[in-house]
Order: sequence, then C-alpha cells, then structure tokens
Amino acid sequence: MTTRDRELVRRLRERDERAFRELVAEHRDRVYNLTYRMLGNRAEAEDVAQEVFISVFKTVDSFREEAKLSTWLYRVTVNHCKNRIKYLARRHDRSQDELDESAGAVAAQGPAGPLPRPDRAVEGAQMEKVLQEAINSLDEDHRAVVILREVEDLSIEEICEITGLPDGTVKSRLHRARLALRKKITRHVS
Amino acid sequence: MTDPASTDERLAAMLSDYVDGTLAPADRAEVEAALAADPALRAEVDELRASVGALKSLPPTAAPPDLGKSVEERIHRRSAGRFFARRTLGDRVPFGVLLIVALIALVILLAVLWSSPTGSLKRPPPAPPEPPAESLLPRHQAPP
Repeated sequence: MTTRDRELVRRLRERDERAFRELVAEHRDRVYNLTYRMLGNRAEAEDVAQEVFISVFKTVDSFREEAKLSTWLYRVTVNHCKNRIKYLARRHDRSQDELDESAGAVAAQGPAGPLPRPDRAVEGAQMEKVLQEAINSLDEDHRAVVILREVEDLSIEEICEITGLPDGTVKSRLHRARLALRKKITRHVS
Repeated sequence: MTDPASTDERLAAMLSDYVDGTLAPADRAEVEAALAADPALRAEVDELRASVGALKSLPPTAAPPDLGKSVEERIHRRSAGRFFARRTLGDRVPFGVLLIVALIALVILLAVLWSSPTGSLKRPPPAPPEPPAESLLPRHQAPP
C-alpha cells in the first residue's frame, strides 16, 4: 500500500469527512463502472456504488493494510454486487435485466445493422447492449471474474486477491465465462 | 490415471492464458499441438479472441457527477449527523477567511488601544525640562 493510501486510511479511521470525500473522488468512476457492468442498470449501479462507499467507511477499521486500498474496494464492490444480484433474482425483479436507456434507446431506433469487428473498439450502443446482455446472462461468480479481467483489465493475481479464489479456479471460471459469452456474442460480431 | 475432468479444467485454464498471451512456452507448445490436431478447438480459440476483444472495447462508464454528494447525504440521513467526527473550526471555515477575520480583529484592537485615554499604546506626555544645576542652590545662601 502506498504512503498516501496509508495516510488516507488513517484519516478515514478518524472519521475525517474530508478524507471520505477524497476517497469517493478518487475511486468513484472505478467503483461505478464495476457496479454498472455487474448489474447492467444505472439506477441499481448508483445505489450499490453508494452502499459500497458507506460500507468502506464503516468497516475501514477492519481493513488489513497489507492489501492495496483499490483491491479492498474492488472486493467490497464485487461482494455488494453479488448480493444485489441474488436479491434481485429472489425478488424476480425484472428491472435488473433492463439495460440502461442510453444503450437501449439507440438499439430500439431501428433494425440491427452490421456491427463492428470485435478487434476494434465497440462503436455503437447496439454492440454495447449485446455485450451487456451477454454479461447479464452469466451467474454472479462468472460475471465478476470476466468483468474484472476484461473490463477492469486486472491480472489473474489481482482477481485471486479480490475474490479469494485460487489461481486455477479463477482461470477456469474465466474460461467458462468466455465460452458462455462467446456463444451469445459471436453471431453479432462475426 | 488422469481424471478427464481435471484435464478439461487444466486445458480450460491454459486456453484462457493462451488467448491472453500469458502462457509459459512449454504449455503454449502443448496447446498449439492440441490446436493443430483439433480444428474445433481452433475455432473455439478464434471465437474466444473475438469475444475478449469485444469485451475489452466496452467504454468505461463515468459515475454520476453528484454521486459523492448523494453518499454523504445518505450517511448524514442514516446517522443523524453523528457518523463523521466532530469537525474543528478549521475544517468548517477556509483558512483564508480565518486569516482575514484575524487581521480585522487585530486592526480593531489596535484602534481601540490607540484611542483609549488609558491605552498602553499612547506615549506619556513629555517631562518638563530640568532646571540648571546652580538654580538648585538656595538663592539667599551667603558665602562662607
């Protein structure tokens, strides 16, 4: 952990409001991007992101400083997202399947046209919608691993640290998630 | 005897590393041999690469601009304002404002001291000049 993070954690433990603001300002986009990709819905993502920061602030005393602060944040975020996915599934709440309107609205404007090649940047909301739907179809464990790897661009070692899973399990889950996504994505990207 | 399930697990883990380009040379040779012998496996790897490329190109999503404010409001609402530590004056008021207020107070204090008749900043009135030394002798004293 860096000296700066150590100092920030010390101030958070003293319930320093300014330290809390710094924490949110520094990590808000990272946390929100992860919650949004995990949940596929802006309202749920924002709500969970808020709960993540509250949870971090409340439990900062239990944070062991041998881990990186960002790793711990990822862990808290993933756990909150998995709990929310289970909660929404129990409630049979269809809202978790509703994609963000910004992606869906564009897709609804007309029939699907030719999509960009997969090795290029995703250029349209249609493709993003297809990808997000494919991610949403995974269970929460596989979803977490594939998002941490492909979207957050974390290493296998970092994912092991975040999830607490052994190397082989992470790689196996990653491969299964990729296979499942491949089936849903291939017909759109080929 | 090797368990087929564990072999699948191992190959699955190796394929992901192969797609990521992080496989050790010896393992890579093993996977490439398997790929050379199995067109279906080659097609699978190609599709995996395509899917990974598409996922990696997903644009990052920025947090709503008022996320921080919303979190603080939620904290204050739940804890009735007791969640954060009691803030000192320096936390609530910017240092520049405190400095200006302190300077104004100093000026006022000096002005009060200066205008007060008993103020310590006023100089005492000048003392009357001392008389010459001979004038200190009695005027009518006769010489011996």
